[in-house]
Amino acid sequence: MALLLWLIWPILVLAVDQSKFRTCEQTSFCRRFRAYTKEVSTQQAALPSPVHSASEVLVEGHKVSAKIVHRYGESAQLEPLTLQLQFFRSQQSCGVVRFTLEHEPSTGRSSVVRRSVVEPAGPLEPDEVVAATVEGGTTFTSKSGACAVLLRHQPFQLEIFRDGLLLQTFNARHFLNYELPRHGRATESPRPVGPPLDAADLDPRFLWEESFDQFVDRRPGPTGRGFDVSFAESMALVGLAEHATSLHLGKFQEPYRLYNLDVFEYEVDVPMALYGAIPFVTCVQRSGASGLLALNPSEGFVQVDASNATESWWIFETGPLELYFFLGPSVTDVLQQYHTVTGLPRMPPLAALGKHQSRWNYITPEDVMEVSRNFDRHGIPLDFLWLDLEHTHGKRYFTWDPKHFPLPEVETMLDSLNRTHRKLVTIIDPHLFANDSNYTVANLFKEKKLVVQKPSGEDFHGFCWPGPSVYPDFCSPEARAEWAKLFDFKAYPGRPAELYTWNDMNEPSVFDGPEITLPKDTRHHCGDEILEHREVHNLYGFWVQEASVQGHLLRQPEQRPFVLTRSFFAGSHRHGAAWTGDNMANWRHLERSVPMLLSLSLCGLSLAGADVAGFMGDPDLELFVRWHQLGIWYPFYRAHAHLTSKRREPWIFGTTVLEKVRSAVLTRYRLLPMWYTLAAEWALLGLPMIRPIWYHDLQDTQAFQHADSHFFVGDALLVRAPETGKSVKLYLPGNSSWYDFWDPSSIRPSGSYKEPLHKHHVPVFVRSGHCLVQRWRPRRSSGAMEGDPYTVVCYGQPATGRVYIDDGRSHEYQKGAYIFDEITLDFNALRGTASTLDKTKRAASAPSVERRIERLVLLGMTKIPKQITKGEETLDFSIDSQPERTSAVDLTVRKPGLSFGSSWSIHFH
Amino acid sequence: MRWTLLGALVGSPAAMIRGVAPEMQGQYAQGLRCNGQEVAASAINDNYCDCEDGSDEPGTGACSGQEGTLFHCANVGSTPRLVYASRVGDGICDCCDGSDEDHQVTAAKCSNTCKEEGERSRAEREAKLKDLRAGLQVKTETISQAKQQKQEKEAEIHRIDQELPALETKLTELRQKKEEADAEKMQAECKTELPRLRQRVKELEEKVASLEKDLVAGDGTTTTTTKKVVSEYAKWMEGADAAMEEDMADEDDGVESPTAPAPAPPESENPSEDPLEKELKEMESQVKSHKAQLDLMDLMDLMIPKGFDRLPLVPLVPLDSKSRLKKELDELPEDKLGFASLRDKCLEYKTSEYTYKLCFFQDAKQSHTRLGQWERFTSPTEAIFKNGEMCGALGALKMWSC
Repeated sequence: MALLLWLIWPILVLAVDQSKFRTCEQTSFCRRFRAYTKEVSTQQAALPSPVHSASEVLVEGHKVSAKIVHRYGESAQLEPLTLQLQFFRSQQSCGVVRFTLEHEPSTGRSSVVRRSVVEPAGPLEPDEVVAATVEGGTTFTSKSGACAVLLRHQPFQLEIFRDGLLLQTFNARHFLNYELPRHGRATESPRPVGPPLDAADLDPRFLWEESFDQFVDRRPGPTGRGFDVSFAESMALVGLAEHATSLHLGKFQEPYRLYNLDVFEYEVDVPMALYGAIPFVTCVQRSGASGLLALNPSEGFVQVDASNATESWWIFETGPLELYFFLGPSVTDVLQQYHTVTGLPRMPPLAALGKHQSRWNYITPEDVMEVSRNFDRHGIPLDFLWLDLEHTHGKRYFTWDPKHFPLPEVETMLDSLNRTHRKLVTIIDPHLFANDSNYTVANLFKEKKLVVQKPSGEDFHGFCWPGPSVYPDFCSPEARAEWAKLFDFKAYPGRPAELYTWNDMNEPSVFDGPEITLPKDTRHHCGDEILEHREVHNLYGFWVQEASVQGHLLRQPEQRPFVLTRSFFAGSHRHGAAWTGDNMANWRHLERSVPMLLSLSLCGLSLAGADVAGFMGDPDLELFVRWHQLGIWYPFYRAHAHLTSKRREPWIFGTTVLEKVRSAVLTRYRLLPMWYTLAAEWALLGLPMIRPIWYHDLQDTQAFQHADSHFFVGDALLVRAPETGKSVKLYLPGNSSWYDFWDPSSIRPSGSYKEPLHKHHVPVFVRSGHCLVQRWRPRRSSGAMEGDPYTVVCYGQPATGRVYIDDGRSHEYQKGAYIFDEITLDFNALRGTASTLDKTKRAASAPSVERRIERLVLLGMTKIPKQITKGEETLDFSIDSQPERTSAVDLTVRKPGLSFGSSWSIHFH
Repeated sequence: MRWTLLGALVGSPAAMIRGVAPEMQGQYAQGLRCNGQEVAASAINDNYCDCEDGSDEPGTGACSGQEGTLFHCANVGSTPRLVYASRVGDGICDCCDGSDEDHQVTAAKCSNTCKEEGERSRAEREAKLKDLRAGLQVKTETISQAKQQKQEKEAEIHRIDQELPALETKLTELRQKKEEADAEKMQAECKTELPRLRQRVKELEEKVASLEKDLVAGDGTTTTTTKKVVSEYAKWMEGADAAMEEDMADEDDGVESPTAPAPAPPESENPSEDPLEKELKEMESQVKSHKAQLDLMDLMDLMIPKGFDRLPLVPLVPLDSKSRLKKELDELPEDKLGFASLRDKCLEYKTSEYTYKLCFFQDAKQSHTRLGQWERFTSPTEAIFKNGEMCGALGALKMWSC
């Protein structure tokens, strides 16, 4: 018996238990839709049956409406559906088309999902269209002429164009499947004679009741929403975060699943659902780039045809069919159009870009302070320390364990951390312990009837960390408001402190629920609407994080919130950071972290990271060091570890490991001004902080083959992920010169290289022509660097760069209290030009922050200047090196007496 | 502008260079060289790092990251301190006089807390001194006590050594007396007791022989039973159920057993043992025990004459206590007598994962893992434990008191 257990155990710990999670085949709406797509594909007739056709096409300003008639058989037809197309502008030009298809006549009231995701982003700017009849359809063209949609009438089909080039076709394969309600409990009879009404006719089983893993789901009948979209001349399709797969979406036996779940020890290279879901794709096309957002938070599946990634089908369990087409023309434009609809990201506090140290669990305030002291002792900067579950009193969130975290000691700890500008994060999960009549937090939600309910109206109880728990009904605005109040410093922790929040388990995780989450037939009171959980599932984690952010703003309106979430949906970038959940300490997970974070970045959620050096298990020293060396290039860099893993603070493993990690972290801090500039360009312009290798070199088809192992940080730095062993295959894209970041005297052209792996770092290269702004003085924390001057490093001549500076913590930047300078180096001069990120908002006030430049490092100058002058003044400079093979020269200008925030120039003579 | 001014001041002998201890100021007066070059006076403390070792910036954070040059705070009223350059001008007050933070350069407003810090540290020092004095007192007392004990122990050892020859003589005499005086008595007793015991041995040996014979004679039944038992046992080992064991018990009952011993109780370790074999074993052990008894009696007769039962053992007792006393004396050499009070004392320290327990003169443990056996004090503040289970190549645990 004992032997048997030992045999099973390794399997349990090494892989997810897939039988706990449904496949498409085990999910009635997906299974019947898949059958429907096969049925439609194999029909021989010129016109498929059933067929949708458009009629009564009307245009009014930016809106187009039509009736979509659903015919089956010779003459039979169903009640028509209402199609609406609305054209909007983004970044002062056309490019966003909203598509809705509804059965019920519109009530004029927007859906819960639109109220949550789209409306808070602000009103969309209508873009008037002109209609023109063409053979078999009508074309709607924006006034500028650049964006156009051709509506084909029979069969119904939409073709999306930009500058006359076809980007996408909706319903090209006629898979549109809008399952209409069937009144009364239809018998699960065999398929009726004649063509099917919809997919429910092909497989009428389990429309009303469906079982999985001993759970029974009572369903409201057929509600599936399926469609197909084809992408013209696709080079790569990306998005659909979060899946532990390659960056480029491709064909798996299973479709990609979108259903937020707590998947313990997830597997890589399977399209299973994970903790978050962003139903948004971007297609990189020879004709440009375009995107598609399916704004639906119910369970979804997306099948992608990999042979050319041109075809896809999508099925959602229920809810409105609301799509957004983004017309590019560039990948950046698509992302900005996505942010126009879902809102711009929340600007993080500068400290959030520093180092985060976490573990499940630091067990006492003294433990926390000792870790903090050790970071000082070993000269490693640190900004955030994290407390997992065990700091609470029996997993009651918003409380402290009276034995291990007595309040006086907590206060001493907070003072001690905050003194060196370090911050604390505590975990706050959405399940509230139900079996303690003295737990006021749970009582509050129970008494106000603000918890998720069973279909019978009783409170739903699920099992989670503390035991039987209730789940606040985050769909309810009132529940979110109550949750926000809990963050009041007077209640938690009792007085103001630099204390931030981590929302875990917010899929939500329900240990004894179907697929470890809420039963789909539980009830939410979303304002005056009552919705089933199935209709909003993928938004639960979004709302938890939103309510926590509101809590931070309520208690400290002048400070930027920082809340990390595990679960997310489209638009979660408005709230804060996310991470890739419970990964594992092995090389596969390290490798897959790169495409996972790139995918998040291309879905608008740049501020994300993977747990370094793997949550589950104990990394060996090579993996440990390599993961830190990679982790410093994640936008969100947090070390975290499971309860059962061994302690792994950087000093545990001796001086060799310590020095490698220290030098990695110091590199991160040296580049903080660059990271902060990237964060600002993300939050204020919608640019991704990290980007695929092909992002800036779409014409380089070879680059696409390296998308999982390389990534850009901003537009200048290219990082090659490490592998175990002595060397890696390196690809430097495009047609330019590249500087080795670690040894800038080494320059090489674009191309493929077998690159030896250096012990102290992973390969990082800087594209010639870029200037990076840095801070060279190592300090204890980012806060301790605030008074330090800057160093500008330019790689190659000519070169350009940008820098963003503000106070790092308040909302004053929204009133224009920031510096955004452009740096340009040409053959005669180096210039700084004060610029702006948003001309409309810019006010006169400038932040009172350090802005001096203490040093200019100019690498690869084409000739040695005799003199460098600033006005009348001659500047002091030294020649650092003169590489033998070239005539180029590296020089350093000492104390140029320049400051950001004003225009300046220095000249070479 | 400000930094140039500072630089200009360097030349004047009265000017103190910021961040440099008074006794080190002279080095800067002679001019500074680094990276093989002379450093201009204006480059010293100009908030720009020219030297890798930080020597040109002893008073600013410009050369932060190196450990060659540390910032000196005078901390008048308290204790002077050296802090890393990375702590200088970072907005966090590290020196009580606030000199690490230049109010005009950084946002930090460090008030001078040296008076309070000085008072606090003086108070702490005094409290510590008081503790130390009290400790010293205790130590002196312990030493004098230990010295006294040591003398007593040595006296005791001396006494034992003195007594030993007399006792040994006495023992020899007694042995002789016993041999002489009781040879007759022994013979008499042996005459009566030995034949009886010999008879019993003979009986038992016969019984054994007869049982062995039975065993051979009863070949048909007993061997098959044994075989069956063995194979059933093997089956049970392979996971046969309880019913099978019951079957076995039934069969056992059916076997003829000449001496009819009580059936083995169900909780017996070996329920399947053959009763015949069992009895045989019992008989053998009885024989053995009787034989042993005989031997013992013979010996006792030789050694212990009546009325002198415990006397011959007397010398053993002082010998034992002598070795214990000697060990205790060795553990505490003259210079470490102050540790006498630590005998039988342990230190305990709980970390997040383990409880460490270090017991003086005994052993050291990490929770349940033995880290080492007490070896010795290697210095007044250091002791060593050896032969631990975990230390591997290191093989020893050192304990420091600091």
